[in-house]
Amino acid sequence: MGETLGRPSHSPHEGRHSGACAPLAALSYQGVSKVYVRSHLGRTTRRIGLEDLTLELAPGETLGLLGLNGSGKTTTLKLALGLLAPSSGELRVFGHLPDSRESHRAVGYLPELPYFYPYLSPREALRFFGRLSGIPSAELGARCAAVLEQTGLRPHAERRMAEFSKGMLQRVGLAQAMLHEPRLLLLDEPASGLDPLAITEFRAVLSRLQKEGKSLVLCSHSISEVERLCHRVAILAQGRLVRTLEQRDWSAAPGRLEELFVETVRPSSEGAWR
Amino acid sequence: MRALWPIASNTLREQWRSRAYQVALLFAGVMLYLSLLLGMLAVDQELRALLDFGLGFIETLALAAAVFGAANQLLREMETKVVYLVLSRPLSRGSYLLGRVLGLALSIALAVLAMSALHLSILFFKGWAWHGDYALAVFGILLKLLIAVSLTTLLALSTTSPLSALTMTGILWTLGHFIQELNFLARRLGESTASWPLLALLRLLPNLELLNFRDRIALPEALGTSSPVLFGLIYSLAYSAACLLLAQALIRRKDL
Amino acid sequence: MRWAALVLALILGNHATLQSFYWPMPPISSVPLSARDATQNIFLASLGMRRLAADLAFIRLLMYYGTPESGEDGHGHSHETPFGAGHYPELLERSLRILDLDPYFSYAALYGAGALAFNLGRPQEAVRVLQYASARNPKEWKYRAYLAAIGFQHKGDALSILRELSPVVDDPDCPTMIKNLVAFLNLRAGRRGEARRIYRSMLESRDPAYQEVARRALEKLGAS
Repeated sequence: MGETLGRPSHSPHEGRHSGACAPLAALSYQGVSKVYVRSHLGRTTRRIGLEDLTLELAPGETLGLLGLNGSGKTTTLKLALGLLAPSSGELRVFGHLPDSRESHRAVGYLPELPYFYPYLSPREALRFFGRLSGIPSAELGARCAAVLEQTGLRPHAERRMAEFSKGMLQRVGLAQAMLHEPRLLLLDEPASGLDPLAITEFRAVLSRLQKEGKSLVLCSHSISEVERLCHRVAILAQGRLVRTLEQRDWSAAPGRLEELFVETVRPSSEGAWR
Repeated sequence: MRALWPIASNTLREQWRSRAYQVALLFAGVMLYLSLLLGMLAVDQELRALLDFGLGFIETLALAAAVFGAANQLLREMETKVVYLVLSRPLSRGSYLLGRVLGLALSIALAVLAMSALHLSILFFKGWAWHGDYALAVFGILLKLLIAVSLTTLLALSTTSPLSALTMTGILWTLGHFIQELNFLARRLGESTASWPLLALLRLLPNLELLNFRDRIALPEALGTSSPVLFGLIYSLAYSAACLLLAQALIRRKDL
Repeated sequence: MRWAALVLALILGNHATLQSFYWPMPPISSVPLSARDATQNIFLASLGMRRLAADLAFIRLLMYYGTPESGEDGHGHSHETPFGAGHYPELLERSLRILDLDPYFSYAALYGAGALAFNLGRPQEAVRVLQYASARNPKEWKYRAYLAAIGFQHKGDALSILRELSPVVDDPDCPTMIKNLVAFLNLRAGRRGEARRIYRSMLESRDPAYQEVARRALEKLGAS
C-alpha cells in the first residue's frame, strides 16, 4: 500500500462537540433526502435518490464516498453544488446555501466524464470558466498557466478538445475544478479514463491540495484510490448512508477497506444495514 | 449579470460553429440568387419581387437558425452535462439563461444583417434606390425573431424535447400571423362559451402581424400606430421578457 | 403567485395591443378557398408573407397573359393570336385574387385593368378590377384616372383618354403597357415630343418586348 495521508488537525468529530468554537464545516448534510419525481402522461413516479443523509466534512478533510452504481454518490455531490434541490433536510457549504454565489466560489467540481465545448482549446475553456468564476482578467492568464502545468496539459493547451481522449478531458476537468482555487473540491470518479502515469500525477495533485488544507470529497469505484487518499470513508447503499469508516479502520492491513466495503454492500449482508 | 457576457460570447461562438447556422447562411446565398431569378419573371415589378422574396427568405432562414438554436442549445448542454461545469460557478441560473438567449439573439441579428447586406447589394445592383422602409422591415424581422427565440427557449424548458419545442414554435408562429383572422373568428362566435378558449388564446399568442413591417413596406398609413417602431420595440421586449421570466422560473426549479 | 401575476400582465398587455391593433389587409379567409393556389397562399400568409404571395400570383398572371393563346381556324390550321390580344378568360379572376392578397398592389390592378380595357376590349371587367381595387385602397388616385379613361374609350374620345392617362405615365407604378398606349395616342395627336419622351422612358422597362417597341418607335420618330 502506498503512502497514507495524515488527518487534518481539526476533524469534524472533534469539532462537532466543541460547542460555539467549532470550525464551520466545509460541507454539512443534516437529514437530507432527495426524491426524484417524474411525471409522464399523468403518471407520476417517485424514486429515492438519497434518504436522510447526515454527514459533515471538516475543513481540510478528505472524504471518500463509496457505493455501488445508483447508490446516491452523484446525487450527494449534485446537492452540494445546488444542481439538485433537496426534498427535505438542510445542507450548507461553509455555512452557505449550496446554490449561493458564496458557496459556488468555494467549491470546485469535477463531474464524471466531463464534457467540454469541442471547438475550444483547454486554455480557452479555462479562460471561459475563469471569467465565470469572477477571476480578475489580470490574474486569469497566470492561473490558467498554473493549472495547465499542474495537470500536465501545458503541451496541449492550444489543441482543440474535439481531438482529446477521455483521459485528456479528465485532466481538463480537474484543471477547471482547481482554477478558482476553491476551498472544497468535489471529485466524481476523478481517475476514470486516466492512464497509470496520469493516475500517479493525479495523486500528486491531490496530495498537494490536501497539504494546502483543501477539503476534498472523492467519489469513486476505485477503492485503492480512496484507501490511499482519504481520511474517512462514507459508504452509501440505495440512497442511504450505511457505514462510515475512519482511516484507522483500514490502514492496518492492505486491502482491508475493500473487504469492509464488500461486507457492507453485499446483498447477503443487506440485513446488516437495513 | 457580470457573467452574462462570457456566456453570451461563448454562445455566439458556438452558434457560429453550428452546422444549422452555417447551412442557413449558405442557403441564404442560394435563396437570394433564386430571388434574383424569380424577380426577373415579374418584369417591371422585378424590384418589388426581389425585395419581397429576399426579405421573406432572410426571415425564414434566420427563423430556422433561431428556433433550432433555442430548442437545442439548452437541452444539449443539460444532456452533455456542460451545464454542471457552468452552473457550479458563481452565476445564477437566470444569468446563464439570459446569457444564452442574448448570445443566440446576437448571432441571429448578425446573420440577418449579413444576409440583408447581401440582399441590398443585389437590389442596388438592380438599380433599387435606398428607402428607409427597408430598415423598418429588417427591424421588424429582428423583433419577431427575438420573440421566437424567447418563446422557443420557454417551450424547450417546459417540454424538455427539442422536437416538441420546434413544433410548438412553428404552430405559434403561424397563429401569430393569423391574429386578424382569429380576432375575426372570435367576433363571429360572439358571446358564446365556444369563443372563450379562442379569446384566451388570442391574449396569449404573440401578435406577429404587429411587427410584420415587411408586409406593409411603403405603406406608412398601414402601420397601425403613429410610432410603430417604438410600439413594436416595446411590445416585443415586453413579450420576450415575459417568456424569459417564465423560462427563468422553470430553470430555477429544474433538477439538473 | 409572482408567476401568475406575470402571466396575467402578459394577457392584459396582449389584450390592450389587440384592442388597438389595426391591420390594413382583409383576412386571408376572404380569399376564396376554391381559388387557384389557395394552399400556397394560406401557407405564405401563415408566415406573414402576403406581399410575396401576391408577387407569385402576379408572376403567374404575367406568365398566363404572356403566353400566346393558340386556336384553330375553320380549315383545321392552328394559328397564334398576336401579342396581347386573345381571350384570356381568367385574367379578371386572377387580377382580383392578387388584390385579395395585397390590396395595395396597385401595379397589378392597373396592369390587369389596362390589359382588359385597352388590349382585350373588355372594359366592364376592367372597371370591376378597378372598383375592387379602389374599395380596398380608396386613396389610390390612378384608379380614378383609369376609370375615367375607360369611360372615354367607350365614347371613342382619344384626347380625353390622353388627358386622363397622361399624369399616370410619370408615376413609377405605371405599367409599360399604358405608357405605350399614351405614347401612341400622343403620336396620333401630333404631340411628337411628348411621345418621344414617353418612348424613351419605356426603354427603362425590364420587358424586352416593350423595349423593342420603344426602340422602333424612336427610330421612326428620329427618321421623320
